[in-house]
Amino acid sequence: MNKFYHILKTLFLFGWSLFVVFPFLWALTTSFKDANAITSGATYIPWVDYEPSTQGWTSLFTTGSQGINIVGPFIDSAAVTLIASLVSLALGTLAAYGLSRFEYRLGFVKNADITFFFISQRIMPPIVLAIPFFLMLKELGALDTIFGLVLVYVALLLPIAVWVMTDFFAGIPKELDEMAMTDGCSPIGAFFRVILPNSVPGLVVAGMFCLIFGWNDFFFAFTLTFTETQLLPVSIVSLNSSVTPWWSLSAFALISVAPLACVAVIVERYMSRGTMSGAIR
Amino acid sequence: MLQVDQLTTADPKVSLQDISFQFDAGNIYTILGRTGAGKTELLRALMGLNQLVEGDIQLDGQSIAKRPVKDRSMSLVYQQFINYPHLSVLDNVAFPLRRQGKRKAEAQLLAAKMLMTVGLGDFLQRRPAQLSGGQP
Repeated sequence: MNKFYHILKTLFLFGWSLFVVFPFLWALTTSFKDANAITSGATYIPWVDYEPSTQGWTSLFTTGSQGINIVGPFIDSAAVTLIASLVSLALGTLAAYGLSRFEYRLGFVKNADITFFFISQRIMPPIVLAIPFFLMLKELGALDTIFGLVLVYVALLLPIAVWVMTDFFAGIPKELDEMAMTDGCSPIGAFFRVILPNSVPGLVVAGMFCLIFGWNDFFFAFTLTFTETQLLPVSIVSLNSSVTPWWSLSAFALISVAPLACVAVIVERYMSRGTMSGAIR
Repeated sequence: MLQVDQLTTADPKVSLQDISFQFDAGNIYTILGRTGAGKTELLRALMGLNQLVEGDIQLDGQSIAKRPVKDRSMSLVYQQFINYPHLSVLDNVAFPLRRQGKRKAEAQLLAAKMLMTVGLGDFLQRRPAQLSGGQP
């Protein structure tokens, strides 16, 4: 029975992995094809099924009618996502620590209500926020700028950081903060010297969520920018498949996914660090 | 000498009401009480970890009721051992010395001496999670 279960599990995992990986494999093979290879049916193995071509990749860095020029949108996307994620993570971590360690009360509003207030920002459909954001950025003269998008993305990513970090801090015993204060730290010192170094897994998870939501956002990047600033999701959607060849579209799609995949591989090792094992014995 | 006058706290679980006593220097005192009577609450209030609603705490004639925890010249040993999981055994012991303003080398030397005294000299660079139950 156990052997049957093991085989079934392996088959399921293999099937699921294939399902997840296949679109990437398809895009990767397509990005190295030319017009002949594309129209000659489904082929996957370069040099055997088809002759690989780097035309799809070189077109991304070429300007003019032959190219797409991915560099500008890539830099814009990276700048907006990184700055907004870092600001959200910094503010969100401090807010979450306050909410998990101190008691706030304003009339009937308590800590749980404040935490829900943060999360409720993400419950609303994005369209509800589009017009207010548009009007606010217009008043600030920040429409179609990186600064304007960073402001909007901080508002969108902050709830995620607060949500993840509040939950994470709730799992760290308060005695650890108290011990640090007894040992000579101020409350802020206890946070920076003891709690923060033990919060690396939470920071990594919150940071990854911020990066994923920021990097993949299309809606606000589309409604709040026009010509001066263009992020990758908008840039890729604006490509017309009847004009832009499939091999270039595939290379573009892979490049837009690559940063998140790289970050995930790099930070994965930090997710197991800083566990509370050994804190209280 | 530790003197407590009409100490009252507002903890929702266990609140202390109008507690007064005096502990003279050089003596060892024991506080007895049933579970939930407020023994831990009292120690936490003395440390400054719980806010006072009323009353005063004086240590050697000086009021410490409004001092931050770190400035009270007091310490508290919890029922369970609290360690800093991200620091080595040596740095765990050296941590309060560093907060007192001692240099890193000096604090580590003192901590190492103390750890060797209790037979933990071979475990200086280990993390708390790597020690067995009796070692921390």
